[in-house]
Amino acid sequence: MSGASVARAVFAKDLLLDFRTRDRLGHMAVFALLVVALLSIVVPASRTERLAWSPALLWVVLLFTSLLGLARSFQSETEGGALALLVQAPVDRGWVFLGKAGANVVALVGVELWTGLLFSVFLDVDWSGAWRAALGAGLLGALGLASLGTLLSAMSVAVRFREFLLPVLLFPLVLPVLVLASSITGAALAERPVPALWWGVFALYDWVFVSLGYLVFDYVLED
Amino acid sequence: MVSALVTLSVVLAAGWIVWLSRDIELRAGSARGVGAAALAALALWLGMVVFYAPIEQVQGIVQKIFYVHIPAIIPTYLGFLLTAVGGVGFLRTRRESWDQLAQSGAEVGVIFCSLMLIVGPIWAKPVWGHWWVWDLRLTSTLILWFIYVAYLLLRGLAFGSDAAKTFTSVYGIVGTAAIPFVYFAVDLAQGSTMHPSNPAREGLPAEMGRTAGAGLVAFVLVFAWLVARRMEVAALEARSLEARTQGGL
Amino acid sequence: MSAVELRDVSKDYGPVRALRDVTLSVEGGALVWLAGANGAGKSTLLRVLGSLTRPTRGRVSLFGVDPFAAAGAAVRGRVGFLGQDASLYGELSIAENLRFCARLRGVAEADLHRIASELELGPVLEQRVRTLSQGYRRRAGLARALLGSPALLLLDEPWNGLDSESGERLTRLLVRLRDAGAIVLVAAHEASGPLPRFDRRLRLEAGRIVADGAAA
Repeated sequence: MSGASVARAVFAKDLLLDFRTRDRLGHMAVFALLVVALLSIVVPASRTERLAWSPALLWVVLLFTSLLGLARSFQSETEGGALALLVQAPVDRGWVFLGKAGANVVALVGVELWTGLLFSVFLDVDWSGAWRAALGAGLLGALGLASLGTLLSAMSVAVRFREFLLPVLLFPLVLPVLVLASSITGAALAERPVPALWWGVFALYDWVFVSLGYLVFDYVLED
Repeated sequence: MVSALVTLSVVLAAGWIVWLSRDIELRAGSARGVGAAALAALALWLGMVVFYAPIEQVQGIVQKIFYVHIPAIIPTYLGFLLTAVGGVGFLRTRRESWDQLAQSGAEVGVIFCSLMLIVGPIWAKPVWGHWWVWDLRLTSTLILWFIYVAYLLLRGLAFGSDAAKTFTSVYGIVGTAAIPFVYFAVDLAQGSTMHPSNPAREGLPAEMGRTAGAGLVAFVLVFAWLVARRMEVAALEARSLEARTQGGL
Repeated sequence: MSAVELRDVSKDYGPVRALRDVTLSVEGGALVWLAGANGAGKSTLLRVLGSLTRPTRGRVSLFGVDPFAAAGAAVRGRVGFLGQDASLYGELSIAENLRFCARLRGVAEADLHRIASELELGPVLEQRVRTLSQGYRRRAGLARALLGSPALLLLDEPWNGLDSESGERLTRLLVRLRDAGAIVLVAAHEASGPLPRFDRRLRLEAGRIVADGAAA
């Protein structure tokens, strides 16, 4: 038995629960639908304006939608008193972090794909030329959001006002995700080349926070 | 020469603070000397601002707010550095003193950060006509301020328990790690900036450079002194809590 | 060095001191009763021993290792814990729960079936925990705690929610584990149910051990 097998077990269990209960994924999907529908009514109808605003709007919508899901990263644990299982795992708890964050990445990528679809339906965004860069940004963005989101969610489990606290803790730290992802997406949609520097900084950001999450989770996880 | 002096004072201040935190109750006395030095440096700086620094041609006397805004930058960053260092120290050793260092760094740092945010608009309005300008330095400082506030909120909401200290240690570390990325992001998002380009690069007139330098040294000393006092209070609070817990049920 | 050792352990929750300078050592092959009123600190003591929460002060040593140190992670695998909650995922079946815990602790699946049948969970193995009665849930939690034949078993009021037949079965099981060399620490009230003949009784009051000796 190794840390990696623990990470895999947590990852698989979280995905199983997500697909079996569907409430976390469902809430995120419905929320995104509502917001994008509202936006399509409110945002000016001109094609050029929509094109100019879409990347930023997309990532703001994703940020709030992701928050809904990330806030419930440990919900299944707190409901059954099962947090103890993770705390008592006989490995460095950083592996538990990797498993959980991994499951969150999958959920977030799913939400991104769904939201991207909504944007093309409601806001006439044409992904045909830009989908590769957008997907790359989406993956890197999901990694960044999931790593910080999982870490901070674990910390807000035992705290008062946690629905309020998580966004307050999270938003300033994930501003770079918002900016980088929307810049890359925007450049791709406008058929401009994406500077390698942006990809590099984005990847660096993800590496820093996945590593930090792994390193500190052993101290964080306590029942 | 000025930048060397500033760098030296920053390094000395940081070193002194960490030394102090190792045994605050015993070493707090040394803060008296720093307090006196801070007072003297402030007096010198004020004198230089009023009498020595020239009145800038384009912006007028309002430009002198620059000498408050710029010096506040370093204590703002020093505060973050202390939360990160204290955070790592606490996680690895579980000794209260590291946590007190982090907490004091955050509380004093947020004061200087708020100062920057207050002074910025006061300067901006007469010069650019707006109270707020979304430029690199001011926007980044705002985000830093949000991180500070989040840190202090987290501390407050976690009941001051052992877990609270662990959580704030972690947040101090990730918050500080995020700063360079925040800077990059804001810069990327802005494109161009309304902020005057870095005067040091432009070749500031010598008097201005020296006045700003004096301000930096003075503010660093004030920061160090405030952190020392705050750590002393934190140590006393811990002692009183211990006594209450020990004696009570 | 004893198998289980606590030295001057205190646990504070803010201004409340739940455990106060607890010093304790237990050797292998013991059935220990943790007695005391509500709020005396029994659950907290079990939680510290089960590495669920770090002590504010003092040292913990399980089988010669500090379970809170980075290098001590593996020793947590030798500890079985059943708290006031069954610690199960409501939306998973008992079998899925046990399989997950087995994977967390590196325990073979064969062990899972052995324990499940020993606790007579066969008929409900595939049912979601959320749909089960309290009694079944407690038994499932106990099965989870017993995975991997722990050398140290910590139980917090295990007879709660069990009917008399299951309770007696539990008592016999605990005696068997003790005879096999495990350390079994049980927090229970006197009126809990069919208590076994304990080897040793620890009485807690306001976070302190006030009595420690052979059980009457």
